[in-house]
Amino acid sequence: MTQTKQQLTFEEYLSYDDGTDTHYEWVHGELYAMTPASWGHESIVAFLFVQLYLEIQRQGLAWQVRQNGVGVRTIQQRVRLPDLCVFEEQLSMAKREAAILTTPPLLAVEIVSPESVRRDYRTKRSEYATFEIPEYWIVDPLAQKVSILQLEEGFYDVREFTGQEQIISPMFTKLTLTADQILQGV
Amino acid sequence: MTQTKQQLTFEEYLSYDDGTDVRYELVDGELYAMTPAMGKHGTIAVFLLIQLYLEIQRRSLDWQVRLNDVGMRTAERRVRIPDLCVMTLEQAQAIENVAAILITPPLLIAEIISPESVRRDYRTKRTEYAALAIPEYWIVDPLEQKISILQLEEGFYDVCEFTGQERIVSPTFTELTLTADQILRGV
Repeated sequence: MTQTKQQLTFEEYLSYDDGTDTHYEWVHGELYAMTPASWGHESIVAFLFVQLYLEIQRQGLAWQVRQNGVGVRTIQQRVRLPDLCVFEEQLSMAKREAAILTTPPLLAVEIVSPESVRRDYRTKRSEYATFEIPEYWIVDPLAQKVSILQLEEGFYDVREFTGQEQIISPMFTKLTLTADQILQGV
Repeated sequence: MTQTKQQLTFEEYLSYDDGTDVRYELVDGELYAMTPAMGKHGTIAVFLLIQLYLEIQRRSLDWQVRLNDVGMRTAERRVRIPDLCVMTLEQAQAIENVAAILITPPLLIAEIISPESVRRDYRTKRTEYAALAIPEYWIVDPLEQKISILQLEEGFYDVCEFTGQERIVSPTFTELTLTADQILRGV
């Protein structure tokens, strides 16, 4: 993630196009480019995307899972782009409008990269809780653990899963995945 | 704190007046009345106000300490009113002739726990004040007889707890010499 010094309003951010396909987060008026992550990162994202998609299908839920393209306006001056997010299908989502959620998604997932450790565990923990996202997963291939954070009166409680432990998700109660499966992305 | 069911926008909240002198927080469009707290609450608030006021004077800092009249806009339709807040003179001047609602983070916020605010002060406000990037947050807890000083580190608060005769350690007020007991007794 690299940062530009240009100051943009929310409306300018929405229509921003620098001719590249780069996605940007928007923090206090500044753009933070989401630079390509590692192959390991991408394989975890792809694996989780498929697993969550299949689980939503299996249960016949009116939910959608999206990869890295949906923005979350966590507080006034910030838009974050979680690696994965799950939200309820809403009729109000006009096809031509910017894909930015103004109501909380059901689940946000971040895969930790070396440069995002403190941002994922600390800053986004506060922002996602302020935005009242009920569940937040932090998948950490560096520390080889999966943290599942559950919102309880405005603050996330954390449960960590490692190795062959099966993760417990209050949102996806019937999902049977171990921490290792997710961390290996297979 | 009691809740009304009326839905207000931020702008409506700013000009809201129901003829009483009740202060309200705004939480997702709803009004939460700040009802009078127990007497102990006020004793501690006044004690802290005076201690921080004197410390600011002593060090000739360009800061101001305020009791219970400055709002923080923590989200689109949310305004919190902390028990005590320390801000820069510049921030104080910016709100002099408009509604006293800060959009930039103050230096320090303190909340004094009442029985009904325990989870709100330790959980919800911990999250909201961190997201607003307020560098220091004190939770004074007369029920558990402890003081928690939360310091912001990359968007999330680390907590240090102080009890009894321990001297509190504040990164904002480094030279302050107060014990947990002094604050909890309010003398």
